[in-house]
Amino acid sequence: MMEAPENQHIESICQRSFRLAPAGLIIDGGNRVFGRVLARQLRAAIADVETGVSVAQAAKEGLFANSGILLVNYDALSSEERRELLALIEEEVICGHVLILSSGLPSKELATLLFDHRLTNFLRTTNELPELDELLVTIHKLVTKDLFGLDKYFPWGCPVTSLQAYNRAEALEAVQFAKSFAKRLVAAQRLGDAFEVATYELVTNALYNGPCDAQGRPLYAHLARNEDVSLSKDEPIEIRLCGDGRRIGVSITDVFGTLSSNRVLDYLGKCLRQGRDQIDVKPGGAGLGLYYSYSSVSHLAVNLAPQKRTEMIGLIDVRGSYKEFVSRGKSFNIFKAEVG
Amino acid sequence: MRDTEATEIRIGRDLVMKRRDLEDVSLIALDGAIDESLESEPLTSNLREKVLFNLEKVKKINSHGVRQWSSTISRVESPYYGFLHCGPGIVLQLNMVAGFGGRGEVLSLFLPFICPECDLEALVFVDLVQNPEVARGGALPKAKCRDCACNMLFDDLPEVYFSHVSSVAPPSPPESVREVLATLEDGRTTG
Repeated sequence: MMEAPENQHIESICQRSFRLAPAGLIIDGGNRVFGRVLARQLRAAIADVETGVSVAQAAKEGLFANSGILLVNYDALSSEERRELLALIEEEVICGHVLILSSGLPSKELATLLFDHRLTNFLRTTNELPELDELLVTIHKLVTKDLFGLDKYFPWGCPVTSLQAYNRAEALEAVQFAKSFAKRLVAAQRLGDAFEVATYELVTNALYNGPCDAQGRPLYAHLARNEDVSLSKDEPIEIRLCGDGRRIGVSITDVFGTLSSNRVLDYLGKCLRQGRDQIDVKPGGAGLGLYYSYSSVSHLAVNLAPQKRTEMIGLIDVRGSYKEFVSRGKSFNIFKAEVG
Repeated sequence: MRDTEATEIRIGRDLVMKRRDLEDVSLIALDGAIDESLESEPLTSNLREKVLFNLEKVKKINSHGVRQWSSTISRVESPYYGFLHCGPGIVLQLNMVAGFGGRGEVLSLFLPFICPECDLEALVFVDLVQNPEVARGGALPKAKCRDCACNMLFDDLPEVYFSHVSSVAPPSPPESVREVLATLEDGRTTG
């Protein structure tokens, strides 16, 4: 049957709007419902989504080569399939963005994925599916490279409060402000405490580890964290806070862009392994700040524009008790802006 | 060995240490925040053979404080030391940082509870010397909400909350430490 001209027109608009979007592939681990539901959710965001294949099938049929985004139902994979997947990533047979979906990985396994396999995108699942908004924001950021902003994680109209810090005293004031902010929005006291910890660690990290000289050498990283630093008037640390009753979030932005993806992965990986090297003995920070931030939030998103800007976003799911927060698992992303 | 009166000194920007010695046991209670300004010397000098650190009033601890604390605790030379009244903040550190407790035994804990009706939060004390099974899959204590009399619920995952204490042997303090613990009012006062 001939397609009606208006349908052809609409189809052509769809093709044009998706022409730059990558195709997606879902490894559902045999959970067909998971694959179908996820595919439906994603078809508005990416060009085409294939599902219902195993790691071995996808490799055999060459599907990885065409997939810009690979979503893996990691919990449903056998140990053998996990090894197979990681080997394909290592061999660069899989070269698109890999999103690991899991209800919660043991620390040591997560450390291996971060440290040894350099994976940068993990989304928590609840009842086997990822939180839809976290998934869509993550895909959108990967596809469009529009990375920065706390507001992306909150509904339109949700007010964002902004503060600036030029020195240690102002940074600590911002932490106190964040603490009061959380107290108003969060029922469980320990969730408020976690928000304070995340804000403190992220602000301190930005203030001491961010600033660098013209050659990119750190200026203050070696200082004890009770020594003061002073930033120039066009280089403040920006602290933004937002909350909607479902989540509270903090974003810390610096204009130095010195933090690298490798550094984040190295530090998180080493701290999660809890080995003898967990605490740094060098002058300056303890090397635990990122780990403490990650441990204190439901979702840690790192936005990197090398030599230009770094933004660390911490989001806490405040629906319910602390036990529910611990039970829900964690999401983690590193997004990197394209150079040039 | 002579008993001593309680002394109190500031050992950090927002941290006070109270100490008194009973026989061969030093009782040290900390009150405040452990951060980068923590001074190690008072916590490690001239201690008796056994040391009990009461951490009930440690309100917060940041990553720089954790390094200071871990380094300090590794320098304690007393053959035996243990931790009393560890609240959720301290338990979190014990679970997250490998050397946080050094060689020390965790002798007692506070468990976080929440009321499912009115969200009231409360801490319930557990003596792990008397009830080591609590941390090893045993029955948790029960608690009633002070406001609405509902049964409160343990507000954490047992496998997470007890991950450190269940990964080591149950506490087994020496006799003189047990005697001192028995003399402390409600097992909860050291300062």
